[in-house]
Amino acid sequence: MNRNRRFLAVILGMSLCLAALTACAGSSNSDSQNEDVQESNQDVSAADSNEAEEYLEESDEDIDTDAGALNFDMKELKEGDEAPDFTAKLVDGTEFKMSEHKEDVVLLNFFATWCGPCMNEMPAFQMLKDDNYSNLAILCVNCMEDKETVDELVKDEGFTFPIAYDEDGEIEAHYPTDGIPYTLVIKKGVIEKIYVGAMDAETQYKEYKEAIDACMN
Amino acid sequence: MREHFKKFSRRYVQLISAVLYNCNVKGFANGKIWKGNSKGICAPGLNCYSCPGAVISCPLGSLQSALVSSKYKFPYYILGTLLLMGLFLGRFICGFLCPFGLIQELLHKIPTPKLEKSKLTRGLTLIKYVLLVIFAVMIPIFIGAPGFCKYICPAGTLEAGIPLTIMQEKLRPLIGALFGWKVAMLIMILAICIFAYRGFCRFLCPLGAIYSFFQPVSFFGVQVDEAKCIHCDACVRNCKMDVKKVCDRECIQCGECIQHCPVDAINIGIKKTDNKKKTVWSLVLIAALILIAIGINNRGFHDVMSKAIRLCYECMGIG
Repeated sequence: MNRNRRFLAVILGMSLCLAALTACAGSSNSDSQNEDVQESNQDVSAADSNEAEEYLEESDEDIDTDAGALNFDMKELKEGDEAPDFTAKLVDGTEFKMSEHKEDVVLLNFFATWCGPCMNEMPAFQMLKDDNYSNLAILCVNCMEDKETVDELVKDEGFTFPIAYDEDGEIEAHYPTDGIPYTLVIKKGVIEKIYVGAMDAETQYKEYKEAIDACMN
Repeated sequence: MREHFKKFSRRYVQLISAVLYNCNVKGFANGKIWKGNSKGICAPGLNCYSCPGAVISCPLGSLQSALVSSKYKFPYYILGTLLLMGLFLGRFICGFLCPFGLIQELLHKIPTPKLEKSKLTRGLTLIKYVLLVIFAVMIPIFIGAPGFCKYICPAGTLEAGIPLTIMQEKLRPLIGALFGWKVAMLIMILAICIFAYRGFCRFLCPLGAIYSFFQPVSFFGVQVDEAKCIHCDACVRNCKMDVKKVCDRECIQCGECIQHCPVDAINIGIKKTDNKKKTVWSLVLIAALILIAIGINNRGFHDVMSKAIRLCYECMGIG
């Protein structure tokens, strides 16, 4: 019995150590997130000179609020918001700059290969690409997977629409979402429609096409 | 006081681990899940990572979502972690470190007529192995969906599906037939747990099935001192699980048999094993460490984290 008591004491001790460790991990984690926020904030202000000027004119208090805005915990975007700028590296070696598509309709999607619903709807983007719209830009951003995984997916499935890497979640930090698939229809730099989750490719194709056609008119 | 702690120490460990897994209190208040790096760590017990409070990942959920994309990347890190946890603790995890185990035990306290264990219930324990193979391995690999999370897991519906659809308005349009199915499954499983002790754990849990393979070699656990044992079978008769002997595949190492042993032949702690078992144990340990090393080198930790910081719509029953 004595042995049992000692054993249970060890277990309780281990649990307490784990509690302490978890608490520490939590705080250091939020610190690193804040650093990320500050870094990406600088990126954004540097990318758009107008915004940078406005940014400098703002008070310290406002800057703090903005810093929170690029955190993973930042408020999610809503329809009518301006689409944040970003530069993405694509699988075909080119770059995609959001700011270069201010006159286009952009269909922006976030996906991962482990996400069943994302994979199910991927053929919808291929169908839209094959529709050859003149001023439609499609971009599917992979969520934090390796470049090799994304390359292999493209090779396997034969997708020809633009797919971007985002190994460290930098693009995603601008478009925070709790879950994927997450798709946005953007017209002239303003978010027109947001889709959370997805059905099969056929249904999604019809939904996106309808939204895109509405934006074109 | 001392007697109280002695009697309820397991309950305290269960409570502490449930709180530890789910210590993101802010998440419960604002309906947002934790997105920190700690989600790269797999918890030993079943605890949905889409739960607003969860700060670490569910090993079974991580395994399934990794298997969905296994044709692109093999889940070394998760397999290594499961191997390591099973090797050290076996189903001790079910008895002490599983929050859903605690929920089931509390449900069983509701005073109703109870289902006694029998040959039938022992037979039903095999269902969990079928669920492990079909829903947790085959469906993710061949159909590309986390089968157990999507169609069965009551923890996902209870900890994530229901609270998050209440708290987040934008998730409500996703509610469909699947959500109805999962809520029905949850109600059914909770009802089973009221009448049958640890009904989900005994009959349905694939994680328990995985850990049960490690029972003969696990480092910690309950053990019978053969020299003292008088083969009275009091341990097996008084056990609420479907065990045939102490520390077989159905034993959750809760240690309740200790108090029923008339000759004090059962103890809980580091098991004494023969050389053959020590060799097997060492080999599995080396395999687990190699798998974890390859996995971490392969960004396995990052992969688990990147999945767990997102809501799994399928786990919640709204995919």
